[in-house]
Amino acid sequence: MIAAPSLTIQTKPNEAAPAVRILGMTVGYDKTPVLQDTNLEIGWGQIVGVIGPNGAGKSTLIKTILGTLRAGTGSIDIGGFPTGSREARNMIGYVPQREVVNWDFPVTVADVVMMGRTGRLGWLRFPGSVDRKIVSDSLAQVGMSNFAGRQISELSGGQQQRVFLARALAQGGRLLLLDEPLNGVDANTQETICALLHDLRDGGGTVIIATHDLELAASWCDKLVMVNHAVVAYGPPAEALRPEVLRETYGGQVLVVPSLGDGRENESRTVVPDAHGHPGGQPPPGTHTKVLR
Amino acid sequence: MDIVHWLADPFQYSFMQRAVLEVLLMGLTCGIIGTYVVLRGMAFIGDALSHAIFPGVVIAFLLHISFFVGALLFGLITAVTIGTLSRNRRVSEDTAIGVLFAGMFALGIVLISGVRGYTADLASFLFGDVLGVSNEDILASAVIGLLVLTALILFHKELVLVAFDEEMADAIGLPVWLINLGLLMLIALTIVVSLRAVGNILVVAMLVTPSAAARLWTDRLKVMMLLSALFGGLGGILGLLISYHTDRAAGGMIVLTVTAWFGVSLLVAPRHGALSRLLHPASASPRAPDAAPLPAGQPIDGGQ
Repeated sequence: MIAAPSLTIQTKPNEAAPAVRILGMTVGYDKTPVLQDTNLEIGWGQIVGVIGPNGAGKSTLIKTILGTLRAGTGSIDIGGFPTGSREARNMIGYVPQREVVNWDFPVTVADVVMMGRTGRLGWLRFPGSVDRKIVSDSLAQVGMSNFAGRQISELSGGQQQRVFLARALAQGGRLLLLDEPLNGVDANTQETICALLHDLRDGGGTVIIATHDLELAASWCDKLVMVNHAVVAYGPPAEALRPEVLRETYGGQVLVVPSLGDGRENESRTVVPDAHGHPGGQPPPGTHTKVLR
Repeated sequence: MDIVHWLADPFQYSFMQRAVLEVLLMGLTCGIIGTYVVLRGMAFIGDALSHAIFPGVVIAFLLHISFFVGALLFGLITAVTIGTLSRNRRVSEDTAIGVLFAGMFALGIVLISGVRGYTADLASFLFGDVLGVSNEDILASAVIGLLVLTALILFHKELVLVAFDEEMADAIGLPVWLINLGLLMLIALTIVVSLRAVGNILVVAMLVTPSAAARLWTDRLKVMMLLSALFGGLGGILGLLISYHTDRAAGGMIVLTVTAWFGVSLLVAPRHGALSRLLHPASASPRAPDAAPLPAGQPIDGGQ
């Protein structure tokens, strides 16, 4: 179902520069800082999960890397170029939260993927055969070629998410940013997305995923950034998901209770506070509570 | 009286020839840009723009200059003001626009009430005077209509991207605010074109109704624009003819005609019409089940 990873890499990053380098960054809305004094360096060729409670700054971190949110202080470089610059923008593909688009606007699947070409095309230029080829290749990579002429609003949540991933691929960048990509997505699509992201990584690209799904984070990601108004920890899942790190990330409200009766001693149950911060409440949907130690 | 005479006879008069040209130009321009007005939910902003243009028309009248000059000037000023207000999150955009357009409209009323016997002029501004259009009016409408159409074609991909996914547009470095302002200005220009035909009060109907009807007939953006232009143009001509034969106000009759067509579309349109929903209940809700809105309680990271 997945075509060979024939990613169109059009911007050569500065080889020596990491995918993302954040130095002394503070960022927020209306002067209330959401992320304070953040330092982070993410190299090429890895899948990095951004983990943290709601409102802790996951999306903020994604948006600052993307360049839609300006940092108050500090610097953010993408492949050695300052965020917001043309070079940095051309290095990025972006999959937004599905809630942010205008679903009343009638566009076909192919139209949506073609939007990924807008930045490269520039003003007063119309898509040509190269762009159409890239669009059909990108749709093939996510297994959605047969849907090119369909209205995007008619598709299922998983299919829509694949189309947005195809759009991000059509952008032709080596750095992929995904904000909660698995909300309301079927298992089949999860597998497709997982395989594709790993292909991208193996091709030298970097993928950054904001998610509240700890199981996904543990199994998909090479490294995790634990965020709670600052970077709490950054490292491989086995280190980043230790109970004391989780406790710090979720504001001391994580309960780690030994799992009972199944005889496996190394497994514990971690309960993450719900969206309102109640300790021991229902974990967010999609959060699987078994966490590797 | 047979249908050919009913359709053709009015056009032996040159004022009707000019009127039909003016109405056609208005219907086409309004229909095409109205697609954005409807799909982006800008009906209220369109109404506000048309009201705020009113004092410009009055001032041009008082100074004995072309109404196009006054209307254009006020249209562009208002577009910039609304664009700026919508950028400022602290002021409720809705309230600010409401205050602005009512205030501007009041200014127009006060200005024209200083003219002796002003009610006739007032009526022609508010409700249009399509039978009184001059060749210059038609030329100006054609030029502005062409300008709007050209801009919509040249900036199609940017306008569509901003309308569908503003965040993505921002992410790739498009000046979203400027594009939205440009769209407001094009809407203002379209309103200016329409003033002679239907007047300040009713112009919003020409921006919204044909497009809203077209939306019921198609799921394709470009088809919607074409249908909307068709509905606006044909509705304008038919309304004009009916007003001629019934001796009623042309602007009102034109708007009534497109409104009636919207009603018909609501009933019989193939995909979203009431009849097709009755006949094919399944196909009326094309979304697959798992694309339904997220259930309440699903945490959505509140813009953080």
